[in-house]
Amino acid sequence: MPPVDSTSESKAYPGQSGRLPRRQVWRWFAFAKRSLGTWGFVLNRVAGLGLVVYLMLHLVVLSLLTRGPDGYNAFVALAHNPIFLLLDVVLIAGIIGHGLNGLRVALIGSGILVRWQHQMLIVLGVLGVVLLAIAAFLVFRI
Amino acid sequence: MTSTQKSHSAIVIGGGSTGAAVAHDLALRGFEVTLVERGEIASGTTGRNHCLLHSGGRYCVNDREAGIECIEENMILRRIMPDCMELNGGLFAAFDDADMDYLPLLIEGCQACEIPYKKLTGEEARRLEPYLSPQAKAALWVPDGVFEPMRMCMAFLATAKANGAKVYPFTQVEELLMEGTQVTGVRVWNRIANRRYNLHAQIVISAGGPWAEEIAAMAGIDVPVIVAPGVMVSMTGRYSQHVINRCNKADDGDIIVPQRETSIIGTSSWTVDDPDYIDIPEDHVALMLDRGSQMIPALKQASSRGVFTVARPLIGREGEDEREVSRTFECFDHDEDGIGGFVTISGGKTTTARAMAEKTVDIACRKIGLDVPCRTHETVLLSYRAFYTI
Amino acid sequence: MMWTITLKIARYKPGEPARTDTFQVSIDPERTVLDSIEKIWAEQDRSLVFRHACHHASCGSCAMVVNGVEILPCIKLIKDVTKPGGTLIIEPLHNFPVISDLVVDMGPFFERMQIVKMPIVGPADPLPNQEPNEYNRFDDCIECGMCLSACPVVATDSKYLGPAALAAAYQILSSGDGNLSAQAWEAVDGEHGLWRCHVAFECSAVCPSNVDPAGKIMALRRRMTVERIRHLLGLGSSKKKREK
Repeated sequence: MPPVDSTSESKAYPGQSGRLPRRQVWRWFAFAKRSLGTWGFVLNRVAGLGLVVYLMLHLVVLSLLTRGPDGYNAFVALAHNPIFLLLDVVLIAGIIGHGLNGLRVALIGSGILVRWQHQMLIVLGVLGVVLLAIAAFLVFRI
Repeated sequence: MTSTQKSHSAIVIGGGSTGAAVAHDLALRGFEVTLVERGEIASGTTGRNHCLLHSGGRYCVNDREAGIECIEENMILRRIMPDCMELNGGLFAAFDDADMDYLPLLIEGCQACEIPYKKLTGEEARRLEPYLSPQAKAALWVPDGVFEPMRMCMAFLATAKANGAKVYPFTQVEELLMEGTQVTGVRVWNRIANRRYNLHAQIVISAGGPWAEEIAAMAGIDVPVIVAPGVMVSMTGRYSQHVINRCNKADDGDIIVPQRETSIIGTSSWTVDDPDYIDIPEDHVALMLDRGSQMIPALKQASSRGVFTVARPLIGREGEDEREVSRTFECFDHDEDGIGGFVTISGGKTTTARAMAEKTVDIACRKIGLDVPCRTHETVLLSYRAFYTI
Repeated sequence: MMWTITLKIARYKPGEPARTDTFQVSIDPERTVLDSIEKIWAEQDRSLVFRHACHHASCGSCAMVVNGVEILPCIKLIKDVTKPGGTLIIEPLHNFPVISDLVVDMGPFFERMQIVKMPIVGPADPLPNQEPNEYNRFDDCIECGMCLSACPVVATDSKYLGPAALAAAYQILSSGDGNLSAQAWEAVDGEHGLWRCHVAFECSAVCPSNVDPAGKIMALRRRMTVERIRHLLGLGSSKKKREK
């Protein structure tokens, strides 16, 4: 398949070769003027990347165990700090968002409920907010 | 250069249907062809036309020559670009007594021009086209069709390119290069690269449509072109399968062309001096809707999808009534004006572009003593998509 | 009534740095965005290049990005995109190589349509109260390229077959006895084919012609998923169907 941004000589405009568009990862996030579907797409990118970063951090923290119980216990004490709890809520938001939207994407991607993708996003969004509120309540009550 | 260099060369000015067909014909007859178009292909008159593949019915009463040209070319285009047309026929529908009086004239015209037709009662016509006004008293079926002007140009040009032609959009002719009284090439402004340079060829053919007068003036020649715009309104929704024509003499808003899921009502007619930018008279839009909905009442409730105007080139002198000027084309060999190596083709319709090209290239061949027959009527064109890929 | 509006138009000429030019134009708000650009070309700057032909959303050549969204300027009225004294930011389609100003090279797009080979004319549905018939009509897809410009996947996978061609593939497969060539199958079911779509539905949002490419891609996926499951269960081979 020829790339869309081919810069070989144009067939329609002989003698001309187009200017290569810049690498455009940022346009994943240019969703301000876009439809709700793109907001869902962006949500999954952001949450997915966030979860990957979290996983890395998680492994780093777990590796403290190899240095004996003191370091790890110190970290657990730190983790009861409200700022840390807030970060936990962000983490849960990412999991809920990515998970619920992932469910939607999997359904649509198999050709199920395609026509309701828009409404599904709204319903799952509301469900996500409710779940997150419950989770936040539980996190801060501990 | 290489062994593929050809002994005869021509420059075509204009990338509308006429220029595209001329380039195709020249390439097929062995010319080295360079086509220059100041905008995008089909961005002038051709692109904005009514998309109607004429059967000739519109002209056969008053303008037999144009009627015959249309039906001949209609049948040829069906053969050479079959994959790119809606071929559902057309109806000339009569709604009042004046229309009914015109019907026998139309039948007589169809017979004279050898246009196939079939007479239908009002009831039969409405069975074919449920949205047709209940006023319909009778109708005449004719082999009208619907095409896409830009894709038609692309098909001609794709084939021309496959035969070696070079096609340069956004390349505007600013000057005709002369040696004495002989045109030897053109000076162009390449608007893509913002550069100016000269191109040379044995023959320069102007297919500039409404701009033909301006181009010929560069050689000090007067080509009589009337610029007669028409307004068209594209309505959302398909309300017929056939092209619906009013069975009367040509008038405003008397044709409805279905294309995709739209219905295009056209057209009006007036004259302007400058074809570059034409304002749309607001009352013409209302007139199109009014006249169109007389034939298909449901159009009154439809929403408008686009309004556009096209600069028709008619061959005639200023002051003549543009509705009465023949819709046929005219090819000018400017040897008659004392200028060599230069030919102008203008007038006509997109339906007859191939015939216009045949006549023009015949003249070009005669001018340089070449005897090669035209083969465009039997050469099936490549897909329009090939324009972008070869 | 006339409005004075400002157009900020992306300019580029080969060998020169890209820039933005600002034009003011006085125009009837009932006219289209394309009319305003054509008017600027006619009255202010003849070096401006842009593509256009039919002016009624049939040829697909004038597609561009206005205020961040792909539109067909030939059917978009000034009054629907701005207000008196407003500004329009005009850019060429995204993702395609820019030839000059607002002109992009549609070659890669048509290569894709050529691979799938969608017929541009197909059967027309009968109108209400119309007897079944054999009328035909041009397809909804006008090949404008807006879906490729809006697609976030194309932005980072330039070899993606893209919404228009995938929708065309579905159209062919679901029409009567239509089938795809081996080359088309390879493109549709390959690494850069239909599984690349990440369901942003932006193609369907910008499509000016109700093709709903995203819906068609999903329908195509369902069809292929069902076929594969059947194949796994030994209920008939998807391969066989392809070779037919």
